[in-house]
Amino acid sequence: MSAYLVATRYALLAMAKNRLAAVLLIAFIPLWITVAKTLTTPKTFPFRLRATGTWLRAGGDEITMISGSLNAVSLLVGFLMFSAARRTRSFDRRLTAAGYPRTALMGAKLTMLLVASVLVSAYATAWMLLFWTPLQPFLLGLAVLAVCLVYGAMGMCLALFLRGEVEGLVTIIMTSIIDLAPQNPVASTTADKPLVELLPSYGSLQTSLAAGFTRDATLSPLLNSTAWLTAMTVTALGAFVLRTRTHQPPRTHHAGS
Amino acid sequence: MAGSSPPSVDVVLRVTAVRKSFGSREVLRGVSFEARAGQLVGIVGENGAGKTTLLRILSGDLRPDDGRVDLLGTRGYCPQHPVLDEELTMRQHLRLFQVAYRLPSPGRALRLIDGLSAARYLDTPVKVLSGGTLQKLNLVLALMHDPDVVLLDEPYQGFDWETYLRFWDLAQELRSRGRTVVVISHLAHDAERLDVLHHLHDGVLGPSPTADTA
Repeated sequence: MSAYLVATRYALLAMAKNRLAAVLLIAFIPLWITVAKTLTTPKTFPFRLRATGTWLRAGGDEITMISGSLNAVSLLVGFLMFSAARRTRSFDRRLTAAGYPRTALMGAKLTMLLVASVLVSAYATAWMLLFWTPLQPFLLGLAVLAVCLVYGAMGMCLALFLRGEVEGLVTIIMTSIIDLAPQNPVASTTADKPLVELLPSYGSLQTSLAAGFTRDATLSPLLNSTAWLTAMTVTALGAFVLRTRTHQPPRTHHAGS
Repeated sequence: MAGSSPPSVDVVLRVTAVRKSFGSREVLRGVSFEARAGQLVGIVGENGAGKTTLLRILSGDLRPDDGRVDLLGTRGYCPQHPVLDEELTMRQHLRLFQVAYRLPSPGRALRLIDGLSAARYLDTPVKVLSGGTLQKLNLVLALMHDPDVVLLDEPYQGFDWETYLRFWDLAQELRSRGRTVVVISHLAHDAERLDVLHHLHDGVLGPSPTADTA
């Protein structure tokens, strides 16, 4: 089995043992979606979809469900990746110093990010579909996947400088709230400040709203998600390469001595 | 001190005028020593004397500010505190390091684990193991590729007496096969087991009068 497959297998096995993340996945996501859909008002709100400039009307319950789902999945995947990166920080260094190929470990981390994001986004999207029929379910799933990837990569970055699990979790929760609250059409029907476009979940929220209430395949906001994902993945992997450098003393092999 | 060294007189580790500071604190102020094949070398010193810093430099984990380290052959490093992945089992650790060291089989690792009476924990996640058992795995990960130079930072912390004795049997076995073992300790009790004992004091290395370290 190749170094990549061994590392990936163990990374996924270890991830599956993250009990807090499992509880959040199984209980918190359905709970959030159910609460958002059943307890918030179905009254429709007019709001401007910033990505296309068009005015839409949608139920407050559906908007809250979308926003709440993005919030829930982002903190879950963010926490999962933060937790894994923090746990293996010193161990990765030892493994690479012993000769483990760094590309294999980096490949395993990216695979873990992708697997976690696909599973969580598929699960959350499926729960949303139980309550609601968006006009473009596949695009909705893609938007949820994008926010999972962005926050997963963010979790890896946060592990570079936050030591404790609680610090990481709180930071991710606060970031997700600060990120999503100003964009929520219920709270801000126009969300008209250009800076909104710079927020990490802008691409996913815009795409989710477009998927829910239009028939336009609006993919351009996902460029924002791609930029965030790229920047944070490059930062996390760059830091990994720097951290796993060894200062090898000159090594030679016994040459007939 | 142990008896005479094996016949080989090859120098496999040469440390020359190594200096290291952390901020304004100069921890190592020109450390030099040599170790030969088949030697058991001890380094003792007070807490905070820089023993771990020195070993981390020898292992490649830290870069010296000045000076050089020449090491012939392969190297195994056992850090002071077990560096493991708490979610994995012992066997999974062995598998990862088998890949890292490019070993065709985990045979030697399993024999070492068995020799340290830890085989029954092979499939247990390390997060539920005792400190002594973690240290056994920590040690085996440094030895499983049978390196030419073994760098051990207080390797028997948490060992019970029997395991402590087994550790020294293991060190003697390595020595008899021409391996070089550098052991850091703050105990002088092991002096008679060693070929050479250095005392790290004030950032420099000197021969160690036993009384200084007792």
